Amino acid sequence: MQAASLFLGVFFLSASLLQCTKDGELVKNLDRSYTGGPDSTVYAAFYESNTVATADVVPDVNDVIKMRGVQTIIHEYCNTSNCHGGPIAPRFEIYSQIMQYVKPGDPEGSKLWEYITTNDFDNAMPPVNSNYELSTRDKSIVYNWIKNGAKERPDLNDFRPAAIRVLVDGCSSANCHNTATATGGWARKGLISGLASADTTQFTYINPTTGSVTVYCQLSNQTLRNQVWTAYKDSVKRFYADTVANASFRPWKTVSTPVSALSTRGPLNNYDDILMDILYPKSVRTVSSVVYTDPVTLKGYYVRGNPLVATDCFVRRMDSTLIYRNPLTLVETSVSGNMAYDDGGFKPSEVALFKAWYFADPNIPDVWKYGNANVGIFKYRKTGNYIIKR
Amino acid sequence: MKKKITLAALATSLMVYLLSSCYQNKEDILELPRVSFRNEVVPIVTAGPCGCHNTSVNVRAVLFSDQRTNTIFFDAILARRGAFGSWVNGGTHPGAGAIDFSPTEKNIIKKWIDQGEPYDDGAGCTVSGNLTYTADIVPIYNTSCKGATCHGGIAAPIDYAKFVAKKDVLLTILNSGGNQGHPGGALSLTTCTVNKMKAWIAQGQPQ
Repeated sequence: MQAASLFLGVFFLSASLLQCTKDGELVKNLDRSYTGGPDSTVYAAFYESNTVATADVVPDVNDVIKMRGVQTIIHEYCNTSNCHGGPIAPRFEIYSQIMQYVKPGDPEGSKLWEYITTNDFDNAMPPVNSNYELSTRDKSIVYNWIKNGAKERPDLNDFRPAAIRVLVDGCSSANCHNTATATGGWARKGLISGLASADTTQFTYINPTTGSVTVYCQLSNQTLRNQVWTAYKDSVKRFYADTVANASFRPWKTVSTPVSALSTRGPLNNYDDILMDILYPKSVRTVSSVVYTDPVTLKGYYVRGNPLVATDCFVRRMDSTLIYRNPLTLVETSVSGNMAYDDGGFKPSEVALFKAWYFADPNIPDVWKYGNANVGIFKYRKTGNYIIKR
Repeated sequence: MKKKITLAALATSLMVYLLSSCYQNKEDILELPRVSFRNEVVPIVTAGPCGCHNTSVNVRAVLFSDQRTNTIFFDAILARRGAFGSWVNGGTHPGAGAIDFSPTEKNIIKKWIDQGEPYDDGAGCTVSGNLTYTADIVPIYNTSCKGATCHGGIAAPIDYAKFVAKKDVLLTILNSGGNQGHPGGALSLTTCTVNKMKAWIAQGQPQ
């Protein structure tokens, strides 16, 4: 009896120890690791819903960023009624509870990250035999949220890279706001000496709905187009930095006129391009009539001297819930938002993300956010409330 | 006494064995859930960075969704799986431009393509009643086949007569889920589209 019990005891103990380290043939193919790296352009916030700081009294449709958040992900995977939302401790309901397992800035050093990515069967969460596993998309949100500091509420460091990425890719696509198309248009119109249509590549676009055909050109040589665009941007910045000193200089070229009434869209290839478009809107860089004639060369310039006389601006084109008024004249313009709705296809949450970034970014001067002396230049259509600095 | 100790030891050993058996059914775990087309890939191409494909007001590109009606054209997205595949491996967006998937998006799309079949494209739709070319096939053609780099652009347009004349080619494409028969390379078609077009052919391709 004793011998038999001893034998069975040793057998069960050995079996339990051995099975803990067993690697089954089928199991070896499992891989729960996250192959992506840090990506600041992933909007990764704790809460699924974040209202922008400049929201109207009752947040309007473009005032709330609603994107999948860490809390929702953890709730879905961990907080179910039969697990950590039920009889099993610990709880993962609120920020402070989840933060017990998070080391801000260090996903690899965080227990939460270890649980959801480890290939160790005995530590993996959700348990691997539950057939419940975080998707790659959800892992990227959790990873980048921890990497960016695991904050309870997002800030500029979260808004800016995500907003710029959406804007750059959304606006600078094939034949729209990119350097290749702008400089190609200039070359085609003979605005750049030494360059002609032959230096461009032509693309034909057929609208799948209407069948209308558009031909557009792009400057083929990337180095050249960067040179042309950089020279243009420098000329704009130089002029507006000191319009008196550069009164006879003026920006190097207008965007389109007077050669053609058709606009060549201004590039929005990166953060600097977007900032230039905000600070010196196209409606002052390119106008339809001669604003200034050089007394010596008699050359006409289609550019206004003060960027604040702009009749249009970035926010107006993005947000149809706001009415823009000129910072100098305080004259209201019509509501637009067409770049978000008609052309760009941006969703309300994305427009809210743009606003969250725009009003938090110190590189955008207050006059383009709240006007001179904080009188407000953006008014909510529904309530008439101006966005002012608080 | 000795007997009790032995029995207790035996019971403890058995308990240890049983308690440590949470993952005893490891052989049941064949693979982790795959990349979801609907939950992971579709959100990428219907978001702002692909905004031109999702406007419907001022259409500038093949539509992946219609914001106004909140409709997603799964076929149109699936049909471009090959284009996405080349793009995440160093290719560029058709018509040039400066856009690209983010590293995270590339990661998801690569995994999705590498896993083979589209996965979770839906169980199909109920196809009932009489189908016609005008009411049922043209909308599919407009969203899935037409475009600057596709039919009506660099490839010849397809009209009713051609759909009828090339019925066998169409069936080859449909029966292979788009993998065979298409002269321009493999396509991906939703189960719904395959079922609908096959039913239309079975009904004699009414106009």
